[in-house]
Amino acid sequence: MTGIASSVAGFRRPDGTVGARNHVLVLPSVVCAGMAASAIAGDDAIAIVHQHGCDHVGEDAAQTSRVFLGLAGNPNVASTLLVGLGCETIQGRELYADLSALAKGVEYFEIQACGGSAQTVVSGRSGLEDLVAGASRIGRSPAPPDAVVYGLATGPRVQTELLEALTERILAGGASLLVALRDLPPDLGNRWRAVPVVEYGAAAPAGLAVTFGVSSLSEQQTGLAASGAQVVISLVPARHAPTGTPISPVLSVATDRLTYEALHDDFDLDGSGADAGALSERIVGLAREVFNGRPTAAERRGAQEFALHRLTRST
Amino acid sequence: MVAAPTLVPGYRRPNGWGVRNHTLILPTHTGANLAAKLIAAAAPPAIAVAHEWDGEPNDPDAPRVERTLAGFGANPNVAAVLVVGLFDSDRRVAELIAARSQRVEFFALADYGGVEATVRAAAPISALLAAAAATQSRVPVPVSEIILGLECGGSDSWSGVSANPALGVASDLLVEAGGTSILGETTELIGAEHLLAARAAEPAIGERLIGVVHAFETELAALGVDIRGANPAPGNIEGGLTTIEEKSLGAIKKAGTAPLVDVLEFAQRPSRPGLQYMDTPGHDIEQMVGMVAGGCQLVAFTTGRGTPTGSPIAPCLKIGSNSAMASHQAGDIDIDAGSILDGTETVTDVGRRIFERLLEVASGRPTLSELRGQRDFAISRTLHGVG
Repeated sequence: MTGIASSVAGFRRPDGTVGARNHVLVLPSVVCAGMAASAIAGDDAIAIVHQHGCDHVGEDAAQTSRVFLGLAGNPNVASTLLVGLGCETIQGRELYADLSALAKGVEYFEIQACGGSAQTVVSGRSGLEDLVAGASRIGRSPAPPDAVVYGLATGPRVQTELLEALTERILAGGASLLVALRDLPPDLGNRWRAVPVVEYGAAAPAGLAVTFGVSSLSEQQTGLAASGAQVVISLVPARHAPTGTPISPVLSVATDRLTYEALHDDFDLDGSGADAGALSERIVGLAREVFNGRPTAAERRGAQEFALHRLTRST
Repeated sequence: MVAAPTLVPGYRRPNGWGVRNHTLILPTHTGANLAAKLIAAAAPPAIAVAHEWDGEPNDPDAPRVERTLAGFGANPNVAAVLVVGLFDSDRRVAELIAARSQRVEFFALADYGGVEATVRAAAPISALLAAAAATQSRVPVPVSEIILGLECGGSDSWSGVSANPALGVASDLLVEAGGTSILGETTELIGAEHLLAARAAEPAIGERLIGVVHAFETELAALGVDIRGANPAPGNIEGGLTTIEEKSLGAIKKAGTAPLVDVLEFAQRPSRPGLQYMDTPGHDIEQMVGMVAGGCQLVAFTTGRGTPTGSPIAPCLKIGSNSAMASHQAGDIDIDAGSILDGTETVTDVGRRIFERLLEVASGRPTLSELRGQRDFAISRTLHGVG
C-alpha cells in the first residue's frame, strides 16, 4: 500500500479532526423532545429520535451523556442543534454547556422555556438555518491517513482470522481502529491483552483500542460513532440484519452466506467464505472510498438506526 | 350536573372497543424501523413506530418486549397491524397479535432481500388494511368498556394538590360507570404503597402490591442504586418537590378513592373492571407504552413542568397543575387544573370536567398532542442478566 493510496479527503473541523461526512445534527436530550427534534430537522438535518434522557440511575446516566456528547463531537458532525425539555434527568442545559466547549456550532432550545413544543419547532427551524448555511460552506480537503478512525462492529461473535487481518491492514495504512467486541475471544493473539480498553462511547485513542461488553450490533455501531469513528465497518454475523447509524457511514459486510442471500440488497459486500487476507484488502479499500464520500448501502436506503447500550433499566 | 352518558361512539373490534381507528406498522427490531417508516409513508394514514430493541430470541428481556409489542398491536384503537421483522422467526409477534383476534399481516426483510423490496411488497397490503379500516364507522360503545391510563410526568409541588386529585375524581367517575383505570409507576409508589394497599379489594391484592414495590427497591439496591437519591428528577426539585415520598403521596392521588381490584404485570391486560395497578417504570414513555399495550384506549397525563407527551395510537389528555405553565404551554396542555389553586373551581369541578372531556376525546375530539402528531414510543427492558 502506498502513501498516496492511503490519503483521504474530508471536512476539516476547528479542532483539527476531519469528517467523512458533513452532517448537521438535531439532538434531543430526552425522549420527550424527540418529536420536536424530528420536526425541526425535517429534510435539512439529521435528528436522532431516541428513548432516553430521563429516569437513569448511577453510571447509566453518565454513560448516556457521554454518548450524546460523543455523537455531537464526532468529526462527521459540523454542528448540533440541541433540544431540551427542562425537567429531564440528563439536563439539556448541562449538555449544552458541555457541547459549547467543542468549538463547533451549537444552538440550544428548551421546550419548557420556549412556551411548548410548537414554539420550540418554530424557533428551532430558524436556528437551524444558520447551522445548515454554515455547514454548507465547508468542503472536502486532503487529510493525512492518521486523521481516520475506523470503528469495527462485530456483534456477539467474531471471526478472529478476519479481525486480525483487518486490524493489521488498517494500522499499516496509518489509520486508527476501535474494535467493539462482546468479549475477548480466547484464540486471539497475546497482543490483544495489552490493547487499550475504551468505555462505551468514550473517545477512541490513536492506534488500536477495544471496547467490550456489548453484544448488539446496532448498539456497538452507535457506541463506535460516539467514540469518534468516522466510518464503521460492520462484520454482520449470521441471522443479523445490516443497519446504519445516524452520523457515521456503516460498511456492512456479510460473514454468512445464507444471511447475505436473504438480505443482499442491504449489504455492501459478501465476505462469506472469502480468504481473510484478500477480504480485508477489499474491505479497507472500500472503507477508504466510503470515507472520501462513496455512499454505503445503509446511506443509500436512508438507514440511520440509533440503539443505545444501557447499563441499568429505566426507573 | 347532568348525568354522564353511558354510551360513547366508538369502534367495535373482535378484541374490544376502540376510540380511534389506526393502521399500525410495527417493527419487531431496530433493523426493521426504516422499512416500517417507509411502508407507513407509502400508505397514509398508517402510523409507524420505531424503537431500539436489537435483542436476540434468547435475550432475557425478549418475552417482555414481545408481550409489549404484541399488546400494543392488539390495542383496540388499532384496526389492523402490519408487523415488519428481520427474519421469519420474528413472526412470533404477529402470532401473538393474531391470538388476540386482531387483524395482522407479517413481512420479514429476509424474505425479500432487504428493505427496499420489502417496502414494495408491503405497501400495497398496508394500503388495503388502511382502506378496510376507513370503511368502519363509530357505533355506540358502553363507557364501561373504557380503560384509562393514569400518568403524571414532570410533576411539581402543585401536582399533588390540583391536577392529580382532580384526575382521581375523574378516575372514580369512570370506575363508578363500570370502567377501568390503571395506575402505574412503581418508582412513584415508593413511600405511599401502604396507602394504596389498604384500599385493596382483597388482602392478597394489597400484599402483591407491597411485594411489587419491595421487589423493585431490592432490585435497585442490588445494582448499588439508592432510588431515594435519584428521584425526584431535577425538574421535580426545581418545581418544589423535596423527596420521593412527597412525590409518591401526590402521584397516587391520580387513583382517586376506588378500591384496588388487581395488580398487573407490565403490558398485561386487565381481566376485570375497576382500578388496577400495573408494575411499570416511572419513565413516562415506557410506562405509557406498557399501559397502551395493556389495552388502555385513553391516557390522562398530569404535568406541572410541561411535558408534551403523546402516544402513537391512544389519545393522551394533558392536565396542567398550575395556570402559569398551562398558559405558557397552551399548545401542549388540554386542561388547566390551576383553577383549583386560585379558588375558582373545586377539585370535584375539575375532575368532572376531565371526565367529560375524556368522553369527548373517546368520541373523536382530538387532544392537543394528537393534533401535533406527538407519537412517543419506547420499549421497557429490565436488563436482568444482560451483559
